[in-house]
Amino acid sequence: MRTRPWTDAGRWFARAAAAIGCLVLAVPGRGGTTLDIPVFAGGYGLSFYEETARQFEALEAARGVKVHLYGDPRIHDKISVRAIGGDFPDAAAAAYVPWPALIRAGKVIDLRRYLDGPNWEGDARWRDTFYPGALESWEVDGHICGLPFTYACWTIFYNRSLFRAHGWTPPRTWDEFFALCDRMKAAGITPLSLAGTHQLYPEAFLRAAFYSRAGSAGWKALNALAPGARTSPAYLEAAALLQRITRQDTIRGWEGATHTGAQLAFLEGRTAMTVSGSWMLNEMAGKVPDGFELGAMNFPVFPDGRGDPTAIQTSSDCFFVFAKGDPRRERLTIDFLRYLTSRRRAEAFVREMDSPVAVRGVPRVAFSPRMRDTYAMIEQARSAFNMPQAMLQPPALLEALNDARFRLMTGAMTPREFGRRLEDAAATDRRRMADPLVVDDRHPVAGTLLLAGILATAVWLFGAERGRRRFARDTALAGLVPPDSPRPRPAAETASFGPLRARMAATFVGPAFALYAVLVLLPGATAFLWAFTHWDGLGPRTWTGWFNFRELLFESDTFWSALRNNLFLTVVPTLLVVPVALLLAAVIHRGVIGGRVFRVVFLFPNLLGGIAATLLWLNAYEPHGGLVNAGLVALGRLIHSEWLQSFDGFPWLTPDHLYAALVPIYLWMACGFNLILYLAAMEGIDPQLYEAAELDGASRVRQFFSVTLPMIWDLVGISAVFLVIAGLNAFEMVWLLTSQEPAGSSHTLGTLLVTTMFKYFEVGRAAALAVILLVLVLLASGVVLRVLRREPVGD
Amino acid sequence: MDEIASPAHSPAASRPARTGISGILLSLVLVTYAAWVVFPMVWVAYSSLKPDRAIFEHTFALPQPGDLRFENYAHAWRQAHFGQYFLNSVIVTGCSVLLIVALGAMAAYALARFHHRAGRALFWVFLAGLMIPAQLAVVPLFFELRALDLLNSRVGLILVYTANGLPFAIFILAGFFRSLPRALHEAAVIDGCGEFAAFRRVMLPLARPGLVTVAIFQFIGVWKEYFFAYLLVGGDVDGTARTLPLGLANLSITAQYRSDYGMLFAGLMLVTIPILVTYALLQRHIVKGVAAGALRG
Repeated sequence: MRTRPWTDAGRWFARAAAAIGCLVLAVPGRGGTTLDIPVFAGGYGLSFYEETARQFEALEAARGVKVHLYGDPRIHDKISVRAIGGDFPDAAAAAYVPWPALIRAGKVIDLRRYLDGPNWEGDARWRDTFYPGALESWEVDGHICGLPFTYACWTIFYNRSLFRAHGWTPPRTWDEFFALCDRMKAAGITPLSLAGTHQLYPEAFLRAAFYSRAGSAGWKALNALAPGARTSPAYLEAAALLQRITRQDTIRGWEGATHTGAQLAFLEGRTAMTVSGSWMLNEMAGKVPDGFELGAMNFPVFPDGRGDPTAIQTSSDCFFVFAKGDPRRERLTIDFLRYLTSRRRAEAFVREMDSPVAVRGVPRVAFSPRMRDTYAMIEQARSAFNMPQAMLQPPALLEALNDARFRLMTGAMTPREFGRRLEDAAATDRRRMADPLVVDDRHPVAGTLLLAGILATAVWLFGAERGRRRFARDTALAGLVPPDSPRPRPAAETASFGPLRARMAATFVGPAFALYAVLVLLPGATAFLWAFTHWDGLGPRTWTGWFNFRELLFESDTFWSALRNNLFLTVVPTLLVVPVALLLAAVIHRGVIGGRVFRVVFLFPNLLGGIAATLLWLNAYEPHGGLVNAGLVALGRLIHSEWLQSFDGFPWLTPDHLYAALVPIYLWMACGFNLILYLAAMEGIDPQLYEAAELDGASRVRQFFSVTLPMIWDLVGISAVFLVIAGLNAFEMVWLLTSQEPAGSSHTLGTLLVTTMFKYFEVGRAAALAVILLVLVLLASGVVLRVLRREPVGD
Repeated sequence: MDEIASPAHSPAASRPARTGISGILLSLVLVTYAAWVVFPMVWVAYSSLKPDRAIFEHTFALPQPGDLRFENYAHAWRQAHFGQYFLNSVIVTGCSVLLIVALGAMAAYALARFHHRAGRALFWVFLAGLMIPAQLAVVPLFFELRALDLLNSRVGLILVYTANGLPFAIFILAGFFRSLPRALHEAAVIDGCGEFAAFRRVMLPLARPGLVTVAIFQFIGVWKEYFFAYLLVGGDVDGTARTLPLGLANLSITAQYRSDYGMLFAGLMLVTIPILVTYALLQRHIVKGVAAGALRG
């Protein structure tokens, strides 16, 4: 930068342009047709699908077809982001994509036309080759939008050798089930391990119990949002049953367990049973101890004999075909799916994955002995019901379910409250379907108070002329203007400003301003406009006035819990980080051996970055054997504290404790940065002040309070503003610690915004959230600076 | 606290390292804090060489010397596409920082030197960017980039990082340019330099400490940035635009799904080591740069 001077601005730009140009990747040219098919890579992995793709390519070599098939466990995020960006693959298999919005917008094709045609072998109607009910998974308004391939059965897995050793037999009724659990506990064995972070797993009990009580008609009514379905005796009984299981018969710390964690606990013999689907063995490949005898049983029924004991609970991974307007591609995609669902590939899947498929006619011998239980269950089933597709559930209900289900399971909510909460949400959704702009006033007081508070604060900050002048000074302190910057405006200088120099100045500022205007100002301003619209990113945008704001402030429970969480993150970490950083900075400042080393070490977590630091702590918080709990237990043994030892298995990252667990992470990450800041300010203090204080006989502590602190007070205020802004903008820590799926009550405004936009495609609502966030950030910074402003002392 | 406060014979001005009881106690406070900062990272470091199941079963145990699982690193490297993502991160961060410094310096120079009502207004418009949360712009920004066909591309990400880094750069650098003596500029102009050459040859080198501060500050910020990256290149399936923070977050999800923690710990180390090395080499500049940047920002 200092050796060779550039000759002119043009050359400089040429270089910048060349640098950028080098980055643009040449898109590789493609011959023939390449189908683009992302697939959820969960328990089954990808290998089977990749193998199918290769075989299909070989079969279709004449047509020059290639299949680009890929995936990972979060493929739905990528598909969602692509879809809302208008870039559609040919087909995709992933549940958590807002398919209903895509279907409504006409982006997903109705498969009935093809299903009425022949299957791959050409010996039957394609539709008839599936198990009954499998095609209903994604039936929307009479259209069949999802093509099922896998056909997993939800079952209770049990440890067969353990059962044999104790003479236990699989229970047929719920009474027998609970009696068995009691015997297990009496024998010192924990009956169940369940996944608290993947609540669809424990919820299988509720679904099964409800179905066996309410039957097929009741199940349909529940999913059709029939009024009263969720407060019906059958639903409440099922909810009570789930609560009884999680509160009495489940392993300690299940609240924080992932589904694989829960399955691991079962396979390692820590519990006698767990709940999962037929994919479990695949998911746990390599983790199953040698000689483990796996048994699978269907869910029990109520003892009155009315429920169908053969009814199975199934769930299918479905393929969706996008309407890309290219008949040839669509035809090829369908052909690929027909090949996938051919009897040969279906059997190959069963042999490789040892898990059922939705295609009929796979012989029993294709299953391993371990899966014969499941096979028999499917073959004997007189009825089957699909686990409801999460994305098909309407937003208010989904939100309520995410929040209330966990509270039901931990006992924070009674089954009756649970049913009522869901029923309310379902009523909201029904009303919304009838009239999209109606708002339920669930938080009339809080909403009004917040609005009034915002207004009052704004008036307080901007109101009086005197206040305004002070605010200008405060923002100057916040660093918006260098407080010491000389701003002389001699007349001569202003006068020397001529038209030529104006053009020169424009060339200097122009590029920066253009970028800034296009990528910051324009979208920022647009957000204000969009906040008053409804838009799913795909269809037309409609004006909805204040609806988004009214819905957030007065109706949404999630918005309010998010706001509470943000408030916690602005107050608690700030109150902890500032004093600790000040103390450490003061210690280093007044001279201590190795001060420089400490300074360097303390800053490191900040450089590490939010993602790496959060992941580090995510593992430190692992309930069993994570650094935190292991440390507490070890300390407990050392000082003989029962209480500390009881932390083994404590689930830190459940919605109940998540925010408490965030505090140490904040401290760990933010202290170093603030410490460096304070130290730099302290080093600017005139040493003579300390000498004078010392002559007056002031102790070191007094010197800190009478010299150091007042001298750096403005900076403390600024750092507090940083922390407050960070607390309001909090996103990545919560996002990662909740595996990118915060429960309703764990959201911050930031995670709620991202979820709203990319998981529900509610662009207008997301923009409204952004606007609220901006208002809060501006007001909070203003308030902090006002409150911390030093009253003028006579110095 | 009393002991800490009691004898203070040495003049505070020279501030020598303190010895004696209070010095030791103070050091102890710092050492304790340092242990809490460092130990989690040390734990991850040695656990990354343990077999998967031993990580949480024997939490504190060191790995068996005969059973070091280097394959954890191989898995992480493959799974997280570290080579590609590292390259992406280097390119994105490098270009963003260069652009921020270059464009920021030019704009700051003009805004600092040419006093005009419009210029002052523009300065404030830029500074407002320091207060706007990233979340405000991101929703429309996504669709804007979609329209420009810059979604899921490094170029798009670079431009976004640059635009968002400019307010800070302009704020810091305008302060520097203001403090430079006017006479120098005038002398350069008299010597026959054009306006741009005067800036390039005379003013820019003088503002070098400011440029370094901005570069360091922005480098740290962009290197670990997740929010924009997640939303603006999150749909990238070929991996040509994904940066390391995205790769690491994805690795974590995959590892949880397979309960393969050895891989995750190794991945964490793969991300940490380059930062650690860079920091070890440049720590003096970084600490100073962070302090200078924060002090002014």
